[in-house]
Amino acid sequence: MKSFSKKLSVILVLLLVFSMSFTVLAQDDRALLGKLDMDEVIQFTNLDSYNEAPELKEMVENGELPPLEERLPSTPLVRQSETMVDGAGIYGGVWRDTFAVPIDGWNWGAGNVQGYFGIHQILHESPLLRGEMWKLNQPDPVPNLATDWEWTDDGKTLVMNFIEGAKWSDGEPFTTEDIAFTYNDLILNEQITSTATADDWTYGGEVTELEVIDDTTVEWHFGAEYPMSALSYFDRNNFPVSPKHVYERFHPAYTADANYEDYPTAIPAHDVPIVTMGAWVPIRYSAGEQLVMVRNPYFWQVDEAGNQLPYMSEVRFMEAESGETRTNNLVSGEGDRTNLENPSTFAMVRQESLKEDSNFTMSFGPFTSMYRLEMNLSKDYGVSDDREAELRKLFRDKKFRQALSHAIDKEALSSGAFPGPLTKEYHGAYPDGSVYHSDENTTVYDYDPEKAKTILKEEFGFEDTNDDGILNWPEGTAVAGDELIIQLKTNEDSAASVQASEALVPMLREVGINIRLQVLSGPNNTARTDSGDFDLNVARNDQVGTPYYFMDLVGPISSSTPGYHQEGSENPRELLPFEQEIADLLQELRLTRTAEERTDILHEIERIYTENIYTIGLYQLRQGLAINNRFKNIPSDLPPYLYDYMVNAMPIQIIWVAEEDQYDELFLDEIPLEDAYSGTEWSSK
Amino acid sequence: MYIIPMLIVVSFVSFIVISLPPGDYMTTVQNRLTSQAGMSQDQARAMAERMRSQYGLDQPFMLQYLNWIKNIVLRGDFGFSFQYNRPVSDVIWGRLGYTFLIALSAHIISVLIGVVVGIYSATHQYSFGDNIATVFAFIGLSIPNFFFAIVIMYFLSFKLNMHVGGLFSSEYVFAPWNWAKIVDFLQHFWVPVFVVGIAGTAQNMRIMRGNLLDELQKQYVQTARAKGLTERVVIYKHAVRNAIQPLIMYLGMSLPFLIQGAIVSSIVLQLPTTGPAFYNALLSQDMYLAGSFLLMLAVTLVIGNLLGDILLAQIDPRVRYE
Repeated sequence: MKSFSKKLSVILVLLLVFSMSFTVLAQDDRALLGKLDMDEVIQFTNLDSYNEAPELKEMVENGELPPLEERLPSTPLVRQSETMVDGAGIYGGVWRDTFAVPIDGWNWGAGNVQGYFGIHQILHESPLLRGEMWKLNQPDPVPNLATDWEWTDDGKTLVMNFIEGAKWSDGEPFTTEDIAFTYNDLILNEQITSTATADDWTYGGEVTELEVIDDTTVEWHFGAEYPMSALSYFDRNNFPVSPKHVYERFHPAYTADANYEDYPTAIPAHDVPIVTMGAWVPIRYSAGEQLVMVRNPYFWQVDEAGNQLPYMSEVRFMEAESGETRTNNLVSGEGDRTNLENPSTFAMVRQESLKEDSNFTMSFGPFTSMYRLEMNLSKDYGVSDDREAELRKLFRDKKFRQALSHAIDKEALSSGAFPGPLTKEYHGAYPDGSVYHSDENTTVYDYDPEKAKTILKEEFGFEDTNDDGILNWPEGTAVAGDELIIQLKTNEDSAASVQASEALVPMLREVGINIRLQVLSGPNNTARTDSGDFDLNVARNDQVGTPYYFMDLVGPISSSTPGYHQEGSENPRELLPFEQEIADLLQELRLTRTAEERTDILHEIERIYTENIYTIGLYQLRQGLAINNRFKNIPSDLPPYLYDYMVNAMPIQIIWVAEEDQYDELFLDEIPLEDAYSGTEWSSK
Repeated sequence: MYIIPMLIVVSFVSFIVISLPPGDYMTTVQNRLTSQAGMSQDQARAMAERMRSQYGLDQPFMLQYLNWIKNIVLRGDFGFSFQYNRPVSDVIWGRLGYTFLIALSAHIISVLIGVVVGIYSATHQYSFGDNIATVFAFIGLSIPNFFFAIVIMYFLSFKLNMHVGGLFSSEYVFAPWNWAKIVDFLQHFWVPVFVVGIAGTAQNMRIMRGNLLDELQKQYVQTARAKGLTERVVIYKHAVRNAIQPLIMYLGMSLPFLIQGAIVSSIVLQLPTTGPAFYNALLSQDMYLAGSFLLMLAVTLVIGNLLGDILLAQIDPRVRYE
């Protein structure tokens, strides 16, 4: 008995500490969520003097590198102190991370993958960035290579200015020629699979035209007035700038004996260093083992004191075969961070972080991630038999969706995933962490199995005619008398989706629905979604909180989205009346000019969405990060994903390490100079 | 010469199996574009569609297969790995070194330890040492090696705070070879060798023990002892030589099994060997890579058998062709 009460008190204390730690987080001054104005994040200004890392200073003194003033732009991008919760940093130290997707080459302009897990965020620079939008009180894309922009009076031309005098990592100047190359020769070129297409840039039936005015100015000519959503296509994902001086020799438009077939493999993974505008440059890569990056001596960003960024000297990424290794590496102290995106890892990492000698801390962002049940609303796409055809009719009936919602105990799902303040039930379109969510606009269809049964019986005539606990289809349907069986598919890679799906089986059985659960591998799951071959689907979504950038997650904006109501090739899609309303609002949203207009429309969409139970919310959760304690300038509420992943959300170039905590740099003498670039295979091709 | 039709069948069946599930490699790409790159679903799907036609994945199945085989036969070209954006042969060759190193080390160790302990067990039947060895052998045989790998990983990572996964710690991957690097390498290397070797050791030991016990009952052993030969000569020159034959016959067979074992434990231990590449190729439907791996496994089985036969002929003159 004594030991029991002792245990109990320990648990109580732990719970107390646990819950306190969140209240503390909510108020502390290390939190940045929605706190800053744009000019408190970055500015483009001239400073009186500049300073650089000691290893670079030495290279300048040896005459290997031009002086800092010549390497920096005349007006550099200055990262503001307001974003640095521990203040300006000191130079040195290593960031050790883990990635788990093979690097298939460095030609990101042709769709090559550089391993994800933060590597893309380090290497790819674009006109604008979304990474730090989470810090802004008025979320708008943050200037990056583009310093400012203006619409002409007729709203059809966007004049965009770019940073002057910035240089690529090999010392070649960055100009609007690189922007034009990326846009005209990669994005618009149909022979090259780049990260965006001419379709993305079509407004009012016309493909947007780019006119280069001078080295720092371009004009975008649109086919419609004020296509504000175009600004979201200047992001890292859609517009990673490629160095023209490197790639023109592989591009058939510039080089006679080049061909499109070889363009995507122009710079294979082992052939480093490569040319980037990013803070670090890849200098070594051993497939399956490790990627090493060192400081880019030409990086064009500084802190307010004029210190050239990044602070840390080296970034080393261990390559693993699966993302779980990232967590193991963090726990063993061999890696520096992991994302806590999945409730199944929360408990394990939490336990390790509580140990006295634990070297890392966990922090959780706002509610941004959610799990939802999607019903296939397509009338005939993917239908192969009478049962499916009848089911689709049911799904398209609001009363049936309501019955399903009443049958689902969301609170049980959320506490089953991870009890405590990190999860909660979820009813609507956007998660609570979204600036666009409001309880007022959310209609809740609460857990009430009796009501569900009544609806199924009275509205649809379902009855259990053979007394086996499962409802039977009523007379008048094509499958009259059959059991009410519904397939539910989910993705095996998402452990929490599988867990939630499993919990749905007994809940729905309670009201007489027999759920057949299919747990599918990631690609198979996607293939089934794309072919419309499913009844129900449980999915995780991390991006619904930023609906302006991911409109396809809230409604129909193309023939193939949303995934649960696609247009087939034979019959035209019949949108339900409320879907049509949402679709119209989304078109309106694309052309909104102010943040207020945007908010109004998105509120209206949430109201229509939840009232009509477009999808059934299951639960939402706060995703977290676990980061080694030695790093400074990590905000306490840094979200792993909101607008972009955390490497950009910090951003990583302002992270620093106190001198006594710094790990040894191993590659200080390998900062690439001209001869390193000219020694690569790609440069002599 | 029955090998060639067999390889054709293997290649065809493996190609079918890889193509069976819905979707193809570009579905994997599409998945990553939404989950990792943060693209919208529409954009990801459009990009996957473009890549599909670029790489000919929208062609009919038989055409894809025939093209693949044609290139292997005519040009020794095993196709293209989408995942690595490189020719399949580059991917496999680049990872073969460590694979064979692990498989062979495990093999040699399992044979050496297995045979020595087996002999000891047989000559000291029912002694304390024999019982201990037997218990360990059963444990080694009955625990699947992926489970062993997980337990060892958990122990090293969570209890000893050591680095697991890969063959080197982060700071040694590109370091020049020196003592520290060798020590670091061995700290990582013993795990897969141990995991892959343990089942083989146990099996070899049991086979050796059983065979030697049989042989020791035979009359020629009695004769040898009666002749006054020392026990040493009786056992090592006569009995062991006969008892070891099935083991050698099995040697060749065990090569592909070891490579498979290496695959499973490499996946768990995240080693830069062929195993994880094969596994990921299957998962992501990187079909030419997966198909080529299956072909390679079939070839090692054939070669292993051949090697086993040759070795046996060396040791046992009775099986040689006249």
